[in-house]
Amino acid sequence: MVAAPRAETAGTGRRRSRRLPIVLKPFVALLYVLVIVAVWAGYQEAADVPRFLLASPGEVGGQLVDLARDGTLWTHLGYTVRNIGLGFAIGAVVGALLGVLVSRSQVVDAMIYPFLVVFQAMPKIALAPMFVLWFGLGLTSQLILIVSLSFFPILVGTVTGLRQVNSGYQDLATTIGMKPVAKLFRIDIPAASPSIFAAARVAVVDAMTGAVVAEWISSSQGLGYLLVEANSSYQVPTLMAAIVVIIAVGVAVYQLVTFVETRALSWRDPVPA
Amino acid sequence: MSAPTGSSVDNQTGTAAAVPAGTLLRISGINKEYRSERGKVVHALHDVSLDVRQGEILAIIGASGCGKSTLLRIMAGLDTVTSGRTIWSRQPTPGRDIGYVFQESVLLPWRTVFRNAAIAPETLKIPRQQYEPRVRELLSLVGLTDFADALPRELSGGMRQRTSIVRALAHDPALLLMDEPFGALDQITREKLHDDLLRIWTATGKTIVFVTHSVDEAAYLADRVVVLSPHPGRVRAVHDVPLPRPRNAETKLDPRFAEFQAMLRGEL
Repeated sequence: MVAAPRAETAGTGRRRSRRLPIVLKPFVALLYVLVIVAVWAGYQEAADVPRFLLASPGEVGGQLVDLARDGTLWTHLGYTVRNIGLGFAIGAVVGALLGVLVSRSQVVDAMIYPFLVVFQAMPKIALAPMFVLWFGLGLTSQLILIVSLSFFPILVGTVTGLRQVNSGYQDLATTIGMKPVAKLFRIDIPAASPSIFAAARVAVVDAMTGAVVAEWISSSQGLGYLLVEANSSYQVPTLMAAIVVIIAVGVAVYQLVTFVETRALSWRDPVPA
Repeated sequence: MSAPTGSSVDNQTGTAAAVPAGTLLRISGINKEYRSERGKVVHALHDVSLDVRQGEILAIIGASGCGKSTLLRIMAGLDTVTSGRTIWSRQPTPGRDIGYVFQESVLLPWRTVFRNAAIAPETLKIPRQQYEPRVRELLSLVGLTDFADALPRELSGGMRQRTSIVRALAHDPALLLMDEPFGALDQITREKLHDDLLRIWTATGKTIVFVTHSVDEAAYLADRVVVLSPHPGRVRAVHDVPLPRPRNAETKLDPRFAEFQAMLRGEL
């Protein structure tokens, strides 16, 4: 028998070193928020900033409560979150599919990669009015903007991940008679998943940017719309409340993807934090 | 070196009539050439012929660059020949009749030891209740029963290589091919795995062909040893190992063990 203890010590050591930061993390985040709010409030008082330029934390908080009470917040929040989810999902599927095609076929690679790079170089936000022109004011043009922002990171992550797959796996697949399609799903995609998840974290935040900008331009609902509405009517507390909610949504979707990633990739060597 | 290069790939596989009884695989006049990255033609194997007999352990030994890994890859269908023939007593089906152990264990890091070991029968779509007892038995044969649910990263190098040996045997192939399977391991672990392998061989009666650069490994494990010489890879000699079975610690004290190794060293 081979000496076993190595495995056990590695296991418990990993669990211990991971648990500590997870317990502490919310406190660190809370501390951050408190410091920012304190600096904000302190500056507000000390510099005597006019209320129509910068609302105080208290006002913004009060406005948030009001918006939550009369239900406005939930309607807008729900709309935006749904669009982020939908747009990110479509973007992820499109990006992953294109990524597989690009990495599998040199022809596809040569054909579409230059186009994709040019597309990525274009500022999508500047294209947003064109999307409205082509697809109308509504959900379609909003989703197109979100998808156009979120698919590219996923595509790059998928291609990078698939190209880095250990070449020994091909020999393994050959010797066990595994067909290419089965190999793609059972070996290549799991092997590429760390890189795909890293891309997904970027893409989901891009999807949120897309959702807010799209609502800004072509919607009568959503947090982006709330932003425009408040801005055009000089409702600074509402404007800032909307910004706070948008930040919270961004953090939440990022954390959600990270949570799924940690669960799905628990087989990886623990990465030193 | 003057053999024609390139275009005519002559990768026939012959039929049963062509090999004598007791022979699993006959390799006949194989040449292998490939182009290096700098465009130079490398003659990896030159007119290599040898027989693999049913149920034997055959070692292929040689200095690095003698094409021994290439020869094994050709047997496994991982590489093609430039000319020559590989004639099987019965044509193997990929994933069914051959088990292959790589130099590096090539385990899938997201699969447990059991699921790594079971990937071949799983790929053949054999129901789990059929292969599970067999995989568990093999794992216990190499002392990995308690690690069936461990992930590869939790294993030592020796345990990974044991897992990959079990994986190569899980679908009960007639032929086990191993490419320097113990090369990356320390001497103590190597010797344990040698005995594991002999135990498996005794229990299952597989035909085993393995590549090594270690003279004592070849002498201890094999029935016959093929010595390849490099540049280009040719068969220099084929020896019967003059040692009785079962092989164990006493084998290593046998004067013939030392003599045989010295003779092999002289040929390398």
